[in-house]
Amino acid sequence: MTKKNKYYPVNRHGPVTVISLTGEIDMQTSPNAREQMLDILKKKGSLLVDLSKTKYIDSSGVASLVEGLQLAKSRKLSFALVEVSHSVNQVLQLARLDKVFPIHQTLEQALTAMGTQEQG
Amino acid sequence: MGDVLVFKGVFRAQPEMLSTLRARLREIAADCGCSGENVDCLVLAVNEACSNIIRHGYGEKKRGEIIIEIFHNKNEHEIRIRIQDFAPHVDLSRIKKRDPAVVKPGGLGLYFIQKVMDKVEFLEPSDGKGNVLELVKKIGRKA
Repeated sequence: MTKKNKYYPVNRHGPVTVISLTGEIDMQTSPNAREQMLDILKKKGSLLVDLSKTKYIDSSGVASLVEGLQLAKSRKLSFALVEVSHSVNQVLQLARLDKVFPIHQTLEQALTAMGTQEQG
Repeated sequence: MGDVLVFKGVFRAQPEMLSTLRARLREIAADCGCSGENVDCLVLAVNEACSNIIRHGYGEKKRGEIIIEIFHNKNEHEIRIRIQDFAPHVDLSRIKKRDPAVVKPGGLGLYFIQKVMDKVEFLEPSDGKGNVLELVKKIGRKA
């Protein structure tokens, strides 16, 4: 699978879908991340974005997260970030978006806050 | 001792170049004695500048080159990066600045560059073609 067609891992936890944005999210990879996130929001509902394995994110990646948040709000769905890596947090702080996104420390906390419990 | 050229590279202006460029830039910045935080700043700024060239400068055609020169001035404790493209002329003053209070998807690239660098300006290209963006970062004394 080429980097251009990268498919990010997804897991279901009750009504919440968790997507793990692994690797580097930049101009090359963010279109796939964006498309996948928006598709989940449109077809499956609330979305939790796992950023624990995100090594790098640039403005295009941040823009994709903002688009996800805005779509979720417009559809009255939940959208949150979990286990935000240090490098991603630096960029979110720089953009002053660290207080805009709901951010959770652990998956369990996130799922609880999003109104569900993890289901084995 | 003034500016010393520590890197010069010519890249094809396409998104695939960015990952390679970032990795190379990390090595060069570390060799120049940059702290981890300063390395991150330089990588972010150059990545955003090149992304803008690819997206807005050359646009959909995705053709053209980007020339990157990195200078290290040990006396001034600074890194100076020149990024040249051959796309239509850009007037920095005409680019609408992002209002950080407004949450919207776009417009973050230039905002990031200006936030993490100490100086950002367009220079006059020596041959009059394209754009030369100069980024300067004070990196402090090597520990």
